[in-house]
Amino acid sequence: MTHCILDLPNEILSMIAFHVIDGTWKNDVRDFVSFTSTCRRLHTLSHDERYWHKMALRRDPNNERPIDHLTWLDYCKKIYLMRTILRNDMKDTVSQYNEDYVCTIQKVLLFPGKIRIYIDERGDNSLGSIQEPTTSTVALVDPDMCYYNENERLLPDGSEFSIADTRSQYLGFLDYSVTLTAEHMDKTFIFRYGHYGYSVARLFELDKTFIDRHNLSPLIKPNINNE
Amino acid sequence: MAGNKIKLQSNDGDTFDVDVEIAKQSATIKTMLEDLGMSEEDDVIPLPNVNSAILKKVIQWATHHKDDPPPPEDDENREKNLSDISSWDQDFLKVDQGTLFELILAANYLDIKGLLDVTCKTVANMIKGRTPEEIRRQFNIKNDFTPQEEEQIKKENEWCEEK
Repeated sequence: MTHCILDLPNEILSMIAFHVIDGTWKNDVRDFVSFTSTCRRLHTLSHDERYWHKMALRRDPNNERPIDHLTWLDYCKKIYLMRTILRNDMKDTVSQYNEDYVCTIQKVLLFPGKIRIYIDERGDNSLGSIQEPTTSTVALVDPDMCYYNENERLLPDGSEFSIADTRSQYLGFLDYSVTLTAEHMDKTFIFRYGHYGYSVARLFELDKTFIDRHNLSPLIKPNINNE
Repeated sequence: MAGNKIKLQSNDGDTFDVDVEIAKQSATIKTMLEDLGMSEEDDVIPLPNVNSAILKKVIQWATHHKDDPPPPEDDENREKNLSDISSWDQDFLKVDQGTLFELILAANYLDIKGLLDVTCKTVANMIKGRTPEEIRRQFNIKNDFTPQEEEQIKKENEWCEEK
């Protein structure tokens, strides 16, 4: 009779460990670390990169191998509190001036205190230069609002572009200092490219379903005044 | 094989008549039947790694799940999006830990993916949300780390502690 979990072969313990980090995304890393910190035999599982790879993939589904010397464990540590919102999880992914000047939102990364928006802005120069991307704004507004006023909007405080051609394309990201709090629950996160004339893209609504699906709770402070 | 039934024999000598389609949920038995040509009327399939009580439970599980769609292929990086364990399976798996582990071993030996998944998931659910000490108590695991090793592990894991 098999009385103890440690009587199970390694192959089964490995399956159980994968189930520990699978299913509803809540505390995958902490659950895995707790399980593998119980005894020497189970601790050997923590050296297996497959688990860290899987946990990294949840946070960075694009699965880009981090720079060569970084293990999946190191990468997972680095992006532990990062969340990726891909295009198919967004409501709108386009902010456009007209059909010749279009900004496509490629993905959004959420960090504690920071939101990074990856954009691909194209223009054909028919109306002149593309507006400067660092004048693009974001805001958290009530769901029924499709615009925002001056004091609600935020400008980026960082940016990086691999293509920056004012006549045809900007490709890169914009960083905004945003600390999500309980007060932002059920608000809609919106983005507008440039300083004038572009449409507002409603990226996502911070409702419970969205928060649970992307495990955003660790990024949401109870109240901004508690900071 | 008699009609659509086969006989499965446990390692303690008990024999069970089981519908072929139910038994074929076990990839191991399916292989025996299809590849090894075990089709004679009086053939008994011996299962030397499974005792009678566990085999009875396995047959009960397979009978309940006989109309389930085949489980998807394994891919450890695929998000399994597992819904909660069905209430029938939860009731079925309200057993002592020894029986649960025996069911896991039987499911593994018989290669019944659905049963293996649900039993391993049940064990995983007993682990989630617990501290290492609580897990040790839950599964009667002896802490064989030296105090220095334990301290070192705690230090290594500080990065994911609640901020």
